[in-house]
Amino acid sequence: MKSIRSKLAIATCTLLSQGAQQAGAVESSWTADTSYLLYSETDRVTVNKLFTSANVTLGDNHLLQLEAVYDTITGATPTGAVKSGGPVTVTTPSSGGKGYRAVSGNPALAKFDDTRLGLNLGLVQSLRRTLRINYGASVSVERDYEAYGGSLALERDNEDRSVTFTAGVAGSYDTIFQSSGGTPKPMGSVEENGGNPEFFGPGKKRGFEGMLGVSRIINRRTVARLNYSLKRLEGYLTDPYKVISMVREGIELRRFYESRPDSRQRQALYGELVHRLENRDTIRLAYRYYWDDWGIFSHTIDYRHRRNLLGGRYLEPRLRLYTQSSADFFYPSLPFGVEPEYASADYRLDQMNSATLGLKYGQPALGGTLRLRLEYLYQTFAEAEYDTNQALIFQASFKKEFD
Amino acid sequence: MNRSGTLLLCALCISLQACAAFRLEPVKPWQRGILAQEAMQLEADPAERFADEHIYFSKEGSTGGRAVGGGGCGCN
Repeated sequence: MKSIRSKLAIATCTLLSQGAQQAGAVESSWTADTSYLLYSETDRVTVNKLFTSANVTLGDNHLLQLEAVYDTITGATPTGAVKSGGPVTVTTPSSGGKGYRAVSGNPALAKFDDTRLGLNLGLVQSLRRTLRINYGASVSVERDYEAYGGSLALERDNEDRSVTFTAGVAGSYDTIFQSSGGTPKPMGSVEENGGNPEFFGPGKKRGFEGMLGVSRIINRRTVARLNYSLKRLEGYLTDPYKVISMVREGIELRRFYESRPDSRQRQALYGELVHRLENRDTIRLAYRYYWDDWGIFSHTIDYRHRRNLLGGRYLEPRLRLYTQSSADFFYPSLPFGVEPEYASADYRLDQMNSATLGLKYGQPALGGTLRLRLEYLYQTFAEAEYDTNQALIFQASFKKEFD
Repeated sequence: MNRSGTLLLCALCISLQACAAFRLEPVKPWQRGILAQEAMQLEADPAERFADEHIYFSKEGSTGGRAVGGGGCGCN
């Protein structure tokens, strides 16, 4: 009996020391989580991603977070040109043999390959029992893209730690260029100067972001959170590889590099609810409403249902549904004689619906936790030259805590 | 009862059950055993979230909402 009382006392003290959002994080000196991800589209892009993270406790008041990611990306992606493109020489946006190359006989699709190395560093400092500050820094480098960022977030619990308020800001500075070095003139003709169009230097993009959030213990079986985020991007927001065709009666007459506005304001409301059912299953429901000043509005619903099995194993089916409107300057192609200031045929700016269906399996292994997930992504686009996209997603992760 | 009436009754039952399940109640620290479990965390699987954010940032026109910061990419 004394032993049980002692264990209960220890458990109570542990719980008292934790906030609403991290009610159950197990104390440990460090934790490592390593993943392999395969993302494979039908006849298009394949991504292999390796990433690892480590959380290291430094004394009573500091937690150091390190993340490293390495991606290899190969395959073919839509250029924005129409499939029926005739005699116009396909744009060779890039790249010393390592960027885009036209897929033989199909100007609407371009082969490419790239690698990406990213590092994130975070430090969580407990200032008081109910107040934490998170510092973050990130760097990501590809052959044709560099990104640097920093963030600062405050987390404040109420006295009984049933509510946590979060306020965060972040800034980023990115450099974009074709892997040959420059960026094409927006709405510049691909064929001008005998196929040597005007190019500028690398594009610069600055980002400023703010977020307010609240998470709350609803009852003994439920926790929820609500976030609002605002992000402003300024600078070169165009994709230097994408083009758009000018078409008359189904025949491509000319081809231009795309052009996007030099600012974008993105806002999102995000809510998430986690609930334990009476049968010990856990359901997780998230919803996001997103809107920006490019004319894109979207709804995202993400539902996970975790069925606990014997021996710490579990199965977790997932359904994610997404729908968005098109950007104001999206055109599948330009009618003859129309040359707007901004135009893009990028399928990601088209009206789209997207569904992901998947299953995750988890079990204890080698003193840690093994997770495997397999998902199928299906996207449909209203007007883009390629009106569907399908992908398989496989991820294997292993997490282990060390004392 | 016709079909729409049956559906309405079902919806009402589900709503009442949902209201009961998500009713706001004070929870003492020693009543947080279920909430302390890994599956109940708002950040239950950061590795999955990290991968998802990269995938959907690359394939959709929307992003954000969960947190601030993180590395960008020129993904296609």
